[in-house]
Amino acid sequence: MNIVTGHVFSAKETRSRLEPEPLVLVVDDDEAVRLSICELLDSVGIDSEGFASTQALMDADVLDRPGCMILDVRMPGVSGLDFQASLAANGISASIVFLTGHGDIPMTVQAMKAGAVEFLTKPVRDQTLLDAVNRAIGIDKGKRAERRTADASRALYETLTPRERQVMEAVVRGALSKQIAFELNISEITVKLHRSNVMRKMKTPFLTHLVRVWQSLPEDIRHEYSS
Amino acid sequence: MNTRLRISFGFEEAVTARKPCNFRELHEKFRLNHRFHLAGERPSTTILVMIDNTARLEAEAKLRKIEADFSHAARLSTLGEMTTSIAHEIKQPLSAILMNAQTSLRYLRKAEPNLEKVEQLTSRIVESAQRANDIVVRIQDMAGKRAPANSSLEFNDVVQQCLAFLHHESDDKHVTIKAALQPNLPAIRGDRIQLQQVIVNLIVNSIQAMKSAPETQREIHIETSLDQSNHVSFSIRDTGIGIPIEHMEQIFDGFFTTKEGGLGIGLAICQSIINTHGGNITAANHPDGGALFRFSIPTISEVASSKFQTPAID
Repeated sequence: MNIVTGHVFSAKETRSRLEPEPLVLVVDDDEAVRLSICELLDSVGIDSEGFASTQALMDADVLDRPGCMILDVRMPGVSGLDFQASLAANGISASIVFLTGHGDIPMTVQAMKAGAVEFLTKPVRDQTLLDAVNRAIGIDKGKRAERRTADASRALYETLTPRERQVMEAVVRGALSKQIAFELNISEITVKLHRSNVMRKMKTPFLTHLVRVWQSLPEDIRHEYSS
Repeated sequence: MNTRLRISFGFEEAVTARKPCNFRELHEKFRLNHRFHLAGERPSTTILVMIDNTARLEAEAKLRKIEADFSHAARLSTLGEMTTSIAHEIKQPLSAILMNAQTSLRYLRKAEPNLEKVEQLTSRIVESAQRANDIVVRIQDMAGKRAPANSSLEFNDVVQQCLAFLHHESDDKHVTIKAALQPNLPAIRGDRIQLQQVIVNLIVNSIQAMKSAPETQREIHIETSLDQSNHVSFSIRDTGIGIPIEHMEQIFDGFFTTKEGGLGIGLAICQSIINTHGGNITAANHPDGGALFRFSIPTISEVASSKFQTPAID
């Protein structure tokens, strides 16, 4: 331990230890356009990587970093809109900013309904694009944080016995120990024992916190023991 | 026979240039200013022949103009059907220019301007501006009214320029174009824009013919080759519904159309252009389905040798 020469982390380094820097994936079949977008992002210190097609993006070994995608709507091969749909179908959540040469209303509606962050038409003002990108990155970071919480809650939940899971579901529903004892046909003392085990295993000191953890769990788990 | 024909300079010029001239006016000048033989000459007979073909020349000129007008109208009609993809094509370089210019300004406004970066971005702006200009020139070529040229052409270049022109249109309609161009084809002689008009017209027709086909089955196969009779040949096949047998006879007729809002002059113009180039165009259905159009035109060497064989007119 050398306290005197102890390393001082810059704000950025501290952040990067927790979470990697955002990366923006730019997909546009026009090389000049693609490069111009990457250069703009580079000028404000945002990392980016360009791809000529959605297929090229899928084939590439892209590191899982927070960020967003900037997609052209129409491209040879799989179009931006179809790509958005296939990502959703595969359960991949991506923050998408669409950038198109000609956006009609049905196209915009389809993209926004499917969860696009923004639908911009070319040529676009630099600030408009940067604002959209920053918003998309923010949304992605939020989603990732949510997912981390859910994963953590799930890991804790998986340590519970089936009986404890049943008790937990009843507790967060607001049922009293007496009711739970009746529902599960066990004694009230046993319910209280299970309940304290749940609180300990889920690492929650308060009932309100337990409810929050419960809500962060994926829906299928929450319905596992619901009556 | 001592036959001699002397004609006035103005008249001779009009005759050799095959220009229509005012016959009555020339005749008057001729009578007043010229003797039929020079002083001191004693010709036995002087025969003067004058043929007034003003009407024929005027009619021919009119016909050529009508043909040019029709082919121009057909070009405009094709371009009209492509406005969306043309706009998109021009927007791409403009978009890159705008973005690079804005990024350059960002670098210049920094406390320590990054001039190296600005230089790099500015040279990309120049490239994109050049590209936008090329697109506009290409469209002007297609849209403009102009007299047909007769120059030596690399046929594959002509085809490739058409494919570049239609790149966005085919992407937009989810059509895959597969081109097999035979390398080192002999040169041909003709008008680049007119031949491109034919090729673009055939491709656009094929794209439209596949409108109702499933997106995964929209393909156009293009081939260039040298056929048995040493003509440069172009063929295009699509995976559409093909040509209804009852339309096969009239397909190259003027004002025959099955397209809503179509003028019905596209294929008629194609045929007339190919004929003027000394070639011919045919339509058929491919055994595996889809329409098949093929045209062939003679190469430069062929045109030269056939000219040589023609008996000299003078």
